[in-house]
Amino acid sequence: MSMENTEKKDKFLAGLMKNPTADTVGNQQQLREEAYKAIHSLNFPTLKDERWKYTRVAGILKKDFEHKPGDVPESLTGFEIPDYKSDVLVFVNGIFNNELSHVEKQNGIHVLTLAQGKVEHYDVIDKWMGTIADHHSHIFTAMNTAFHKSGVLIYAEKKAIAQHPVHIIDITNGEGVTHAPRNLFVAEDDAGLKITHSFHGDAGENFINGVNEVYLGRHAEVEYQMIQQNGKKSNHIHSTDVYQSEGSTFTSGAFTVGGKLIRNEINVSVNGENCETRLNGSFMGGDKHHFDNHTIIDHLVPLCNSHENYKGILGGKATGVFNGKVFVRKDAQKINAFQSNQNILLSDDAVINSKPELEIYADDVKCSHGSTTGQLDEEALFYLMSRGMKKTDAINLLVNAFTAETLEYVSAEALSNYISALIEKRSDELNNQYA
Amino acid sequence: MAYTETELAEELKSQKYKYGFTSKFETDRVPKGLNEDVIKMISAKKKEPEWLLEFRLNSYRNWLNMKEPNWAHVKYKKPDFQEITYYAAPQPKKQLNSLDEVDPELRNMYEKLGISIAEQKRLAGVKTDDEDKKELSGVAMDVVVDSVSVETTFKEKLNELGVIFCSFSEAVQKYPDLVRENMGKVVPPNDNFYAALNSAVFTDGSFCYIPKGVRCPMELSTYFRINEAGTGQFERTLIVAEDEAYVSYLEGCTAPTRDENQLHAAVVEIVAKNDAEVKYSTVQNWYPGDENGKGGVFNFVTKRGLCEGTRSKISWTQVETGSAITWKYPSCVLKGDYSEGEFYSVAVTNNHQMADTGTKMTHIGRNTKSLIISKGISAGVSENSYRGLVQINKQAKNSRNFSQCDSLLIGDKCGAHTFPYIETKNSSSKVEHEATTSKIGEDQIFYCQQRGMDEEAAVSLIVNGYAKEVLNKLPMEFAVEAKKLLEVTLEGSVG
Repeated sequence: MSMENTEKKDKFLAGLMKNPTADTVGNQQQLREEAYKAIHSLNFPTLKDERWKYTRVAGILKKDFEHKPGDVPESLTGFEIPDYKSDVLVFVNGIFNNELSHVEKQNGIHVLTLAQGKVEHYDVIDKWMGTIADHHSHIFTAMNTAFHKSGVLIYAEKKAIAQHPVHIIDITNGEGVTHAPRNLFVAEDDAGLKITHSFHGDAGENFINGVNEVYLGRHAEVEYQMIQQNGKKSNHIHSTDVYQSEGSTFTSGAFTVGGKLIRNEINVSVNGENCETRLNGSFMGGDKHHFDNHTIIDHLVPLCNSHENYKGILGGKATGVFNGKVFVRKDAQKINAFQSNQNILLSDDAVINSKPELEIYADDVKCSHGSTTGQLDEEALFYLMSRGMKKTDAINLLVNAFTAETLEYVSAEALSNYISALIEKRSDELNNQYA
Repeated sequence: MAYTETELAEELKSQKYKYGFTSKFETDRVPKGLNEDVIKMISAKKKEPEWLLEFRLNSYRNWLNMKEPNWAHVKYKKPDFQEITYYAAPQPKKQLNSLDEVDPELRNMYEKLGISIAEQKRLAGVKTDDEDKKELSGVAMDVVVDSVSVETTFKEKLNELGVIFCSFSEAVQKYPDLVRENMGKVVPPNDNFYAALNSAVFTDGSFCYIPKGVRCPMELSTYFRINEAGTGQFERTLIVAEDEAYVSYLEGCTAPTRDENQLHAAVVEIVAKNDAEVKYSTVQNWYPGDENGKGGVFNFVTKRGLCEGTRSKISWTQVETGSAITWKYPSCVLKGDYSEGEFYSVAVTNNHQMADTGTKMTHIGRNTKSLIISKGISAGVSENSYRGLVQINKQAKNSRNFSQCDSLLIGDKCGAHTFPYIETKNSSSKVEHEATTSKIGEDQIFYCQQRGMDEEAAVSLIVNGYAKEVLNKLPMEFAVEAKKLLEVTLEGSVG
């Protein structure tokens, strides 16, 4: 790294390090220090790094970001999901808001802020935090580990199945704000959790650097749905790192309808037989948005299934990136891994870079991937219009049908309807802007 | 009775490389090592014009500043470039009157390679009788041993049509303008590490020029062989097809069995003008090393075609069965509107072989089309990767690409990988990519066995069926050989 870059990095980090948080219980402070050390030996990625080939983060480094409080909304109107019964945890600029949040007590299910968790369940945190996400070689994860101030701990004891989901609402507002949500979701053996995580923001430029760690015990089930309605100048890098034990099922969704630079990473390490892994997502960009989805499913043991389905719709001068990697390690026989990425480009200035990868070291497997890029079906459009539909309505209908597959594993109907409506609204916007 | 799996694996391991013999020609070598003096010496030996020496020296200076790439999914000990001999030519021969006068070593080699007597006569430069000349459907062949083109056949016949098919060095002497105009146009000397090295030290290869409107009546073929120990082979092939021309070009390669790794870094450039079509087929069977991964050829090749004209078409077909390490991406730059690029590949790896191969399709012109069919087969403890780039640029409106990359795994110790890069920059193009990885289905083998085939024949049938889409694209003479090669490489392996 050149002198100039080192200076830039130090200046950028200085902003994040103002008013640092320290931990006093367990080995949390040690973890922060370890990550802090790692940051200094790591560089910010450039386009020359294979993992960041299509996503440039230099723009983020040019700005000064700081942790600072934001305007707390008076009510949750516009943030809540209609008819969706859930616990709600609200964070504004990474600061927990008790008034707007509510959690209903359930047997064996613990929903807490990370700060509370570090005191009440420090043993759970010490056991898992920093063991699933990689703060040694990923600079953004290292930054989150060293500088995070808040987050959520959701802990399901053995055989505890949550009766209702948890909805985490992350609101960011103001200019030059940064925060680093750090969440830990632990489902012990035979436990079940459903988590919805939504991001909202105003027009201010911000930088969100989030990390989720998810542990699934034997036969545990976790569903994690992420909805990104970030503001139009929001930079959001989010890594979800998952560990699956035998017989567990992990389902995730990433629905991106807002933000300027979005990078979602999901890294799943499947380390028990008979696991199911399902990763889905839809991303809809316009203007100069850059939406990047990176997934890794690492099959370490035999007899597992994984399904992956990502859809991209891009208009304006937007860029979409999909990089899906499936590893099947030596002797991990009888793996079925399916991956699909389909994209629609609405304008000539939009770009999609798709990189579906397979790395396979076992022979008795069925692995496939498919990737397509094209347009909405002209004939379908004509058919609908000949039945009296307006062009924009017909496009919305087709877009909804196109993305519907990615909503297949959203278990709550209210949530599925909510996402569907967001997609339709976004489709309308893209339509009006560029059609 | 079918074999047990262990027996089959044993047999597979001991498959001897049947082209592994050394011919003891008298050779003319330059001292080993690489520096400007060696390059000047090569250039002087070949009596090259000043501009070509400049081209070489510039490439060499570029190369000095380049790093050997390490992104490919292969592991090997980097060659020591000072330990390689960059020029080794068999001694020039005199015109011969009968086959008996031919150097018995050379003749022996042809026989082991299975080249027909008539063909042998032509290759050895024996005056041929009228009967031979009547064979219109024959294949014109250029044989390159180590670094130098030994002989080119059917010259007269081709001359009548205005087709130029000769060794690269001959072309430099006779057609310097054509060479100068097109060389380095598709693969610039600083394109990549091995292309730069080739541009500095290349010794020979083939040159092929098809004039306007000529449909070359026969297949043109080059046969490459590395013979001398410690030599690298750096050949350079340049094919230029003028407007409305057509040519089908074949390339075959073998090398003797040797313990040390030999380096092969070739550059192939193709230029297709308006409505021209070039078909380039390769059967690569360099020595793959023994079952312990000792020896074998490093095959680091840059092949690229430029569809310069409107409606031009370049089609690559490759059957890759040899080499310890293969690192090869025959590519098409689709510059002309309505131009078309095709890539058909079967890559087989066994024992310790590693192959990282695929293609790049760069769409620049409007309404351009590309098709990629890649079939990988890995057995033993080998690694086989497909790596490809499909890039649809903004101005390449209404472009179309379809890619299919299948991998077949035989045995649980090998690896099969797919690394496609798909970049689309306009909204009127359609791009499709699909890939599958699996082993031969037990049900498929069972079905064949039910019909009275033994297990081995069943595997051979299924593999052949799997690769058929590609093998069908090869000219007939090659298809037979390729099919045999597939069988030999995989004989006895059951999934």
